[in-house]
Amino acid sequence: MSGTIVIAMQRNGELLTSSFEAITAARGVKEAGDTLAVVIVAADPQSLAGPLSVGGVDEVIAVRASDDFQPDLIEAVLDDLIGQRKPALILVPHGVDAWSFAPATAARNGLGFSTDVLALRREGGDLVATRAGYAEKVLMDIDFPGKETVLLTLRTNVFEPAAGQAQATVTELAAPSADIATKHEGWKPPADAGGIDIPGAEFILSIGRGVADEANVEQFLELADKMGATLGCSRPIADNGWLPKARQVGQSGRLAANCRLYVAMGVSGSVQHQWGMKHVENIVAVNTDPEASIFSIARYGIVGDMFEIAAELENHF
Amino acid sequence: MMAAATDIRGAGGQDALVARVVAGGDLYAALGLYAGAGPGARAALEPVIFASPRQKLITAAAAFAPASLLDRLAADAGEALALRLAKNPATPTSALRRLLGRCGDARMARCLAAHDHADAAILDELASHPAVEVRRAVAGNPAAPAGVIGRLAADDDGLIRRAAAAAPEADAGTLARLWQTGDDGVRAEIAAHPNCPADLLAAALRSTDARLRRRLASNPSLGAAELEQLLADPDDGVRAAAVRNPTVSDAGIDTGREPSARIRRLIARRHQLGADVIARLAADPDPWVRRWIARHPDLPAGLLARLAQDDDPGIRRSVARNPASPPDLLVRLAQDTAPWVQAGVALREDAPPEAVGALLSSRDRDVLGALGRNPATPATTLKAIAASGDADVRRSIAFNRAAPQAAVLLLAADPYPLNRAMIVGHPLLDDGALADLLDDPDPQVRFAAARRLGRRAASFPPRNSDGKPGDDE
Repeated sequence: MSGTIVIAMQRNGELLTSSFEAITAARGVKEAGDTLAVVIVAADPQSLAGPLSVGGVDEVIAVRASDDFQPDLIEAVLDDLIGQRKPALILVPHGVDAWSFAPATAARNGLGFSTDVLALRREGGDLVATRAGYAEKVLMDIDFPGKETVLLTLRTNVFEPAAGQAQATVTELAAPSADIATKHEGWKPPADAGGIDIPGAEFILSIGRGVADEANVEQFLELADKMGATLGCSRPIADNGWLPKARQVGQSGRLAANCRLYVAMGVSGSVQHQWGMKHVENIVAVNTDPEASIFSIARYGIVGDMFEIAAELENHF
Repeated sequence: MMAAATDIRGAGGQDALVARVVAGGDLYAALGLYAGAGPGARAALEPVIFASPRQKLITAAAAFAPASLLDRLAADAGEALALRLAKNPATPTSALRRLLGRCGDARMARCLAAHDHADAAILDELASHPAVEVRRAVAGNPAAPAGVIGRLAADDDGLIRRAAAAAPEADAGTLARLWQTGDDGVRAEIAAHPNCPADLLAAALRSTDARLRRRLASNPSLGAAELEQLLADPDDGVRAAAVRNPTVSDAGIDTGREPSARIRRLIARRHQLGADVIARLAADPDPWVRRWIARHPDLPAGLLARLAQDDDPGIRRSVARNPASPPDLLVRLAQDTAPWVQAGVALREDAPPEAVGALLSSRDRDVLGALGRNPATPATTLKAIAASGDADVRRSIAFNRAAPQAAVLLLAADPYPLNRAMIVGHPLLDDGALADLLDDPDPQVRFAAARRLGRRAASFPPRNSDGKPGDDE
């Protein structure tokens, strides 16, 4: 067993950045003499082979099919490649696409398997994957004793996207026959957020009921602007029409998917709000109520008035 | 399952409702009814609420639990129950007093010391607690009386002294003593304190430490001369704090000479501004200054019209939210290219029909959500909004007192639990729909429905013996 296979993902024929992040992760654990192959399934895979020839990729395996996402087909491609090439490692960007084929592939082929992997390394030649557990409260190192092939899904925005031209060969692979159980009906673009990108923001300043009045909201828009943050909010603020719904973080709002610093001011921290942000590594909570739920998930907490803290922050930006 | 319907109107209405909730054995419905129930009904509901130790723990931690129930729980609370009660912001003073007598560990004492309902006697006792975190909590409690603060000002702990210096009840004598012994942080708090003695204000004014002058500038007891000096301070942060000071008169603010956009933004936030200052700020090169002044209620129509054409949609939105904006301007802004500006008009109950009409074909979720809240929106549109595919848009109906009953009933059957919980308070939700919600799978919906039904039942006058409404109905 040797070599690594990366499954590249595309939407409407455009490669996702997470595909290039997976290439970087693969290169990081590549052993001498190993090959790194990237698989792309698309309507015109040849046009995507060039862009995928980056950062140490030895081979691009092009599978001509539809641009529509078809998990059964990717499963069939992977089954074939596992049978023919016996790779030691398969890497897939973590996300809804991976969920629909990676666990099934791993289970059917008896592979070592872990999801949402944050880091990869070799220890004495053995692969060790790191992932979070217990709602991001602990990091777990996972090894795969006795497994000849390991399949991992990789958390996005953790690895740098691969760059730098490579001289990869391109191999065409006929799409295998697959028992297709699902049908792609069409793309539904997300609601127009007017340029507000809560899922993509790395730094979010979020306000809740503590802001008290619509007139006070502008002050935090201004502060977020100064700090280089994206302003988010809890549900009552969006319900009142004080901020666009695109800024709402939480169960019925947006997920702060790529956030690394979340400053919650005057947010009590309802379960619904936490759904959208509790995974963030650095949460700073400001609330006058020391028993507010938000403090139970915050790394740093300030029991104090959000307006006083905001005024102090303004002195620093 | 409970019975499908409960007639709450009439003499036996509340009894029937209590009987139904007792038969169902649901904790949350029982909690909802308890606050408005009489002694007999409470006695019937308590076995449901106190059915198990777990339910007692849930109740003790619930901020929505009635104070009288928390008081009952405090009477024989064990350690775990007592801690939850001490943390619960709804726990009344009487219950806190009971818990104080059984205050075993410092954790619970700290919760009592920080509690909003802790009275002077509780705080006085806890101010002598051996654990520093308890004394810190007492010092940080705004209800701590002057005598307690005076004692804590002599504490060895620096954080306690700083909290004492910021305590609302700290008197001039305590502040003067703290000034002598405190560090920079303590002195900064004293400089901002309304009870700060005049000689210490003067010393702070002369200080070379800008952080101290910043805190001083926020002091509401400063005189006009001191504020004038601070408004001319070379440090931006000091001038910013002075502009925020509510006692600053407009005469002391000179926008013409203010070089910092940050300070001009703060000036534009102020309510009391002269016409010439408003005009100057409306033409400010900084967009945030214009954004703030565009909300000013004294902005004349001409300037409003000019700002309504600003390139920055945030400024146009501010005009749309300005209560002084005339109807013709709202009509124009309802046709703005930016949906967020349109949503600002859609929120306005005083928007003319022509403006509302211009928004009815919008598909933007913020515009639809705003229309959903607006009593001026036509009933047909509100019904369509209640059937929207967007749960957040549908919820807006719950905030609209003029929503037609068909829309209200749609939201009462909404698949999203929060939407059902929100519509429970709507005046047009009838007893039958409310009674159905007593069986809702979501606890917050059952609680809200029971509370509302309980209040309604209590508000109906008794019926005559023949079952017909009484004379007052």
